[in-house]
Amino acid sequence: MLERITHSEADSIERIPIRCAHFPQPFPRMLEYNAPAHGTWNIVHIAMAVPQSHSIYVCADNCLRGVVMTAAEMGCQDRLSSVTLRERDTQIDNLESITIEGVSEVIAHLPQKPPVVFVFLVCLHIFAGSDEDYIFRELSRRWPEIRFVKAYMDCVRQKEGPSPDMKLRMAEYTPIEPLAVDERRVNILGGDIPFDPDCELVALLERGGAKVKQQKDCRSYQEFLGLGDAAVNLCTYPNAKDAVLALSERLGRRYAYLSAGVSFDEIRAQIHTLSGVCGIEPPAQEWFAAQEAECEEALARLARTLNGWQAAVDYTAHSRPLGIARLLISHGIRVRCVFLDQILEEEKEAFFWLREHAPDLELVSTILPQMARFGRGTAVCGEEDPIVAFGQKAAWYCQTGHFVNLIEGGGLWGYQGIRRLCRLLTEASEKALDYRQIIPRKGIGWPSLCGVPQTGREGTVNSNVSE
Amino acid sequence: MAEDRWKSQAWWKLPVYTGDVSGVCSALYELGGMVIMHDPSGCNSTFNTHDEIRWTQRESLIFLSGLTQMDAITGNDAKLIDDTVSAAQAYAPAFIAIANSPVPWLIGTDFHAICAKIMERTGIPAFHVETNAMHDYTRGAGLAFFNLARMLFSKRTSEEAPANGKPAGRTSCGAARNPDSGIGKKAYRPVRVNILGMTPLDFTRKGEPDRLRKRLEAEGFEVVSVWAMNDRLENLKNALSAEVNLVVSSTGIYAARWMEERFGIPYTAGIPAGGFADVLFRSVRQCAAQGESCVPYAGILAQNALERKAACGAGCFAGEPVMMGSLAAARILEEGENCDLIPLTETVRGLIPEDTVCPKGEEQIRRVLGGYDRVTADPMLREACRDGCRFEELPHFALSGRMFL
Repeated sequence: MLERITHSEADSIERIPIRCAHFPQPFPRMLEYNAPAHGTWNIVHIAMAVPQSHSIYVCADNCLRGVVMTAAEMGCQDRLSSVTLRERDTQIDNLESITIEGVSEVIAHLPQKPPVVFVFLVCLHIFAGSDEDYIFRELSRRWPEIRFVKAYMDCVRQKEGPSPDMKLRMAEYTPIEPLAVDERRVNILGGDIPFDPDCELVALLERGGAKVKQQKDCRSYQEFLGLGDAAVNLCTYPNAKDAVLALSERLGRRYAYLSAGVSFDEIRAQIHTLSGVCGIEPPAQEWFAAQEAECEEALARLARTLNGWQAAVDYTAHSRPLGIARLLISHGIRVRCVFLDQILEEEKEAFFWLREHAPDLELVSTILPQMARFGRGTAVCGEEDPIVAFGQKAAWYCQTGHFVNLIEGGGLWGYQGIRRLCRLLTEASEKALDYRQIIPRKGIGWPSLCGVPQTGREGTVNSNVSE
Repeated sequence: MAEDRWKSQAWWKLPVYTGDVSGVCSALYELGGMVIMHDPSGCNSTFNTHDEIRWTQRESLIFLSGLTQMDAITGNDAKLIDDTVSAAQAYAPAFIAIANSPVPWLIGTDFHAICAKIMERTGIPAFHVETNAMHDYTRGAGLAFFNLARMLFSKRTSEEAPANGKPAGRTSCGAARNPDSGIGKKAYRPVRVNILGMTPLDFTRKGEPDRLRKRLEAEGFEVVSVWAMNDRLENLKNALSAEVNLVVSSTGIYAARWMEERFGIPYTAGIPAGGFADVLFRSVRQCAAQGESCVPYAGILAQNALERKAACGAGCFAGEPVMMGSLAAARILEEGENCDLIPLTETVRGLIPEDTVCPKGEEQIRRVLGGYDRVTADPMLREACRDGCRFEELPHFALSGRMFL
């Protein structure tokens, strides 16, 4: 008997069954397509999350446009400035001068001097070998009352090292100095979407007597600096892991990375780590059993609700898309595909589990050029059963309004996170949202003051052509 | 003065215009080609989020190369070539355009060789658009149209233009004249016109290309091609049969000049705005008849400046020069008000009256706009005007993006 040794769509490189996928790079590196789903945070959002901060980008016009308009659409135009680079800055003059003089010019015009300024250097500074230390030394000499933070929008380095997002998360904590330690204080840092008070992570800590602070709790720069009094720093978001570790090491504080795992074993382990590092009593075995029973009930209910549906998960919604696929599949829910471009180390176990137990699960790239043909009425999943999407990119590529509008885990953590995940998927299956209006907006959690282009509607822009 | 230059590059609150790389993508969006931005990351997202209204509705083959530091340092152009060839084989685009970003510009990437290699391997015409991300969209889109025209017509001779030219007589630069163009009498043969420089960056309102086309047809013109909205590449190939190029934004001027120099097709610039429309239509006919290019709104603005006593008018139109110049001319003609054009985009040569003030950087923009009692401009420029100024909002997508959609 002949045995098929290639997957069903042998020519397809953008959609592959997981049994044919390699870890951690399932797809080749090629030209990149960009889907119009923009709810995730970018470096503008991350820097602005530091209260009272001002950002200054020193770069070429075209590179500048995205960050300037991001700020404008957030209504934060007055917190972002720019210095445009010209050819002569690299050919005749030097990037140090324009950076120092341009930034100084901007600061001189600000109505109030900000306590902290993020100065973003770019690929040109890297390739021209700019003396970054000199730039920041000189800026600090000229404006001693301002704390300058070196930040990067150096996209050219992001595939071979930490991304600008990761480096910015590292940089944003550098102004925090060690304060007198309060042994009851615990910081949860690094994630963009804050945890609700009823989130298990926060609830367990508070029940154990800890005083929890997240970045969103800091209303002023002084309060932000006050994060230096915590005895423990926790991080749940992979892109911020190194940043929070570096802060903890510099301040000499305890640290734990509590990834937003979605398997019972991992959650148990995380909670024990949490208890250990924060010095709180771990919950009793009965508590774990009760929590897991509740999760099982919620997942069973979800399986009944999604009978006849298929699900799609994307990596922008949660750092554990494969873990979520595993959780759903192992509870009888049909997962059609997972959208991702690479697989994190912490997803390795889920990847191999899925390869064995759900070999036909499709992994779909979000950026390969072949993806340009999807969207705009053409869905990756065809016209089969209705689909519920977990994440904006999944919604776009599956062309469904039945989607969970979430980024970066959305504050889901622990058992409560699993139950909330079930609730969100149930709600998404019950009610369709206008995804075409929602997903092109930037930065979930920030104001979005812009319009979204539509067809079939006269724009509000005046026509200057006389009828 | 170095200090003035630094000031002209500092922006503390005002936004910058859409950049040149996005301009390329916008210009070529609807023509069935493939556009590659040779850039590490970000340009693609910026373009489709802030600089393009068609992205969620209409497919276009616009991709990013994902340049890495190592590829740049080692000169690994083979990756760009291989990836482009691979995508071209999948999609069979009508042409391939490559725009570049700061790093390839800085290291002197040989794009002409890259395009030649791609053409050799795919058989698909490929050209480079000389961007480097340091300019605004008028330059990027302008160079895209210019390079597209060269791709389509560089092997054609001036004798072939206009291809279906019936009238006898040529101007000194070789353009076919249309003595029946309607100057002084009703035309019995319509003047054939290309519309150059139409992108949603300047013409955002739905239906704008059709509206302009109908308006021109109602005036007795025949629209040969629209560069490049609501038209097909096949149709653009007929552009040399036109007698006049109508430049409706500064993004059309490079292609118009090249077609004038190479094929003797004259151009006129402006949009049919209010009371200026008749002047523009006369200018088109005059161009066709005499073969001389002209920019009629610039003449009106220059005359207005000459006749008045004050150094500057009471009002101004600030922004892209062709559109705002036309609107300013319309106001002068309709209301008799002294009015200036303040160009804020960078492609201005030949499109503005002499001695026009072109402010660079936020400080100069604030200083110049602050001198007027009445300003018509994008709402984001209100910030730059003085208190009590009568500000008339005219959203410009290339500046305020989605803010006023």
